[in-house]
Amino acid sequence: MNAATPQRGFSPTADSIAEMRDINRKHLASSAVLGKQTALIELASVWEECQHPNWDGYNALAVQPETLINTYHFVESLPLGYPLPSISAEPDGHMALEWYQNPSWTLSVSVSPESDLYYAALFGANTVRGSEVFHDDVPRIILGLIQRVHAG
Amino acid sequence: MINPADVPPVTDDEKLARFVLQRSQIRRRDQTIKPEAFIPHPHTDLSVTRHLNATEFEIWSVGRGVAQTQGRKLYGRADIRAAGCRAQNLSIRADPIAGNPNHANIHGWPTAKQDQKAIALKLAAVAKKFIPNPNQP
Repeated sequence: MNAATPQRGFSPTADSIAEMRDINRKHLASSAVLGKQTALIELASVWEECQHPNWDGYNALAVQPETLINTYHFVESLPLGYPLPSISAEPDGHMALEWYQNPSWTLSVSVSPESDLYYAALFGANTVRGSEVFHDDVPRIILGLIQRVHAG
Repeated sequence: MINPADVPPVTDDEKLARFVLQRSQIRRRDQTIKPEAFIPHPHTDLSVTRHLNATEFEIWSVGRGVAQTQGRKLYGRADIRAAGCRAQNLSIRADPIAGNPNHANIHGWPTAKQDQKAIALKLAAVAKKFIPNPNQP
């Protein structure tokens, strides 16, 4: 038995408690979506502007629907309490998620249509970079970088 | 503007303008430029305009021309020093084109996406401020 889904008891009280817990869980999930609404609105706006080629005037590639979907899932997968990114598109058609303190203390994560994540972070004179594959959960290394940007 | 018949090589202290035609490349909260504005893909070079011998009016005229040709809105520009690009092991080649003798290309970009992003972050950090198009309300 998984700790996240405790077994129900066999009394009417236990059933009521379980029912309340389910209601609260649904409410929490709904709040989390609302909490991410600003990022999701920005995502929709960027998609609107960048779904056709040459959206930047320098022959940028169009953002593909798969990239939009992957970015949506990435934002949705951010654990509760993590700051939300600002969103833009990149000339190769990837979407970029940015966590930002100032120009020298920032993290940028690119999301590709193939679910690849490319990241680079600037912490003063130091840079961190790499790539990961996105499988439903935000990679731990990226969560650590988000925390570092906002702790700085 | 530079005399098209006598285009000098780009020196370290020169300022280079990158025009911004996409509003999501600007951080509204502090009017700074995002690194995406400096990512060259799908090109291998990043197109910029040299400030050398150009007035502000001429620089903005070039930007308006770029936007008009592409049917886009000119939001503004970001300026970087040539030395800032060379510090990232990039090279700058004067590349005069019709209507813009001050055109140049920044080349020598790495091919790995994460390496391009790391450089773009540093260029955005040294560029700092986004300069809005004075003719844009």
